[in-house]
Amino acid sequence: MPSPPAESAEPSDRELLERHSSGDRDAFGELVRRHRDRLWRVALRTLGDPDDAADAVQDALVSAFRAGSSYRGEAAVTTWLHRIVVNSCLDLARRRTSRPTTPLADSPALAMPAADALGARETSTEILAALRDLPIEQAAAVVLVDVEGYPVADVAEMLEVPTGTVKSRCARGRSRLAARLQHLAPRNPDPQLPVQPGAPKDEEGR
Amino acid sequence: MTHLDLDRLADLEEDLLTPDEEGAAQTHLDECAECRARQAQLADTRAVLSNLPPEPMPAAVSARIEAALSALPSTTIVPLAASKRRGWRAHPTAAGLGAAASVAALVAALVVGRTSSHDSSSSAGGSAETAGAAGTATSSIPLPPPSVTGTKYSFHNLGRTVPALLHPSAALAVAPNTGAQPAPQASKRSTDASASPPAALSRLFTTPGALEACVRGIEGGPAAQPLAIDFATFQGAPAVLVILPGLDQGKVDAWFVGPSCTSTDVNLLRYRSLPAPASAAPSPGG
Repeated sequence: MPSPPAESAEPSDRELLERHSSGDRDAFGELVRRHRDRLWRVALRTLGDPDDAADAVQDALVSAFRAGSSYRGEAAVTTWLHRIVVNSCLDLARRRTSRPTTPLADSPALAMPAADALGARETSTEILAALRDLPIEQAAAVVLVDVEGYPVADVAEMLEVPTGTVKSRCARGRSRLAARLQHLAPRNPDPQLPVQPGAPKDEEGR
Repeated sequence: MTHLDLDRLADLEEDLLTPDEEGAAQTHLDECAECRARQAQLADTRAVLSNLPPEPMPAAVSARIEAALSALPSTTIVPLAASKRRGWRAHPTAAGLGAAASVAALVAALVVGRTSSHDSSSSAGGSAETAGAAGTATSSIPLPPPSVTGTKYSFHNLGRTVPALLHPSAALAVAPNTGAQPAPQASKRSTDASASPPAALSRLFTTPGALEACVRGIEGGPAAQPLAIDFATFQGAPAVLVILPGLDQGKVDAWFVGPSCTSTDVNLLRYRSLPAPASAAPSPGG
């Protein structure tokens, strides 16, 4: 006779949330430990500032903690958590006057050393700065789709916008980033030379 | 045909062009190395984005978040430790506070209106009132004058009784066809000489500073002004209800604390976040 699932088996996210709703003090902490790194990455790269990211994630998790019993299972728990974190980031960024709220004019590419002179850390810092100069909605879309690799449909749920909106925000954001970050990826430094459009990822053969 | 700029190429990649535009763009790309290079530039940008180094949450941030979460009340009775005083209220969202502040102003007007008759009717012998006023005067958190509705709050009627306290007229319409204790009449009558809080709560009601210390303990950090304070019962036990502006816009936080509430142990009975009564916005007529 088949044995029931072991008590020690890893509870699913959903089970953890149910336990949290019924008063289990540890369940939510476990959920946070599972997802904190990816939530942190999203907030840090969307906002571009570690202090802001810490505030946003903390606000978001406090909200999630208190709203846990209102989670109805309409979306994956990770989607739900991302939605709360992203909303928290958008709220925070919209209160920051320094962040552009209208699209930037063509930003000149920064005078930076070529990519091969840059370590991963510098590249990361540079991208963080470039993302930070995007309008926040574009930054969030690009981070979720391109950096984290979530499907556009999931990101639409996280951002609570139609998929077409996710795509156009990604397109606008990538276009600005490409203009600014071209020095980071000088695979073809001379634009006169023909290049093979067969790029590294999966996109070109559409 | 003119060259394709990055915006156009990014739109092409996301299928955002009309079929005609897309056909023209593809035709141009077949012929133009310059635009293909620009297209590769976009692809390279995506490649760089997808290869960013891992970025674990810094230990200091996760520790801070764990502390904030462990300071939150759950359905169980969890005293707030003094070490967690700088807890989750240290990072309210400004938007939430702004909205709450405007609600607070309206509610304060309501509460004052409600208690002004209180003062005149009980000025003869209300030592309790004097103590309450003194507590308010010396506190750094401006407390609203506490009410003594004696409402029998319970798990099941919070959604109605708490808004009723904040906005009495809103609940009058609801009260008649519910079996539970209606708050609004009680709040209007709370000034009767007979309406003193349960004996167990008299320390909080009469000792100067006691109520403020309790509120301070609940807030666990920089203080927000409570929207209302009510001496009543919760699930049959003597309790003080403290309503604070919610961290989220449009929400209020209802805290029920027991008789031993102090700044270091609030004797928490129940916490719940509720929607702020919408009817509080338009008219302060109650």
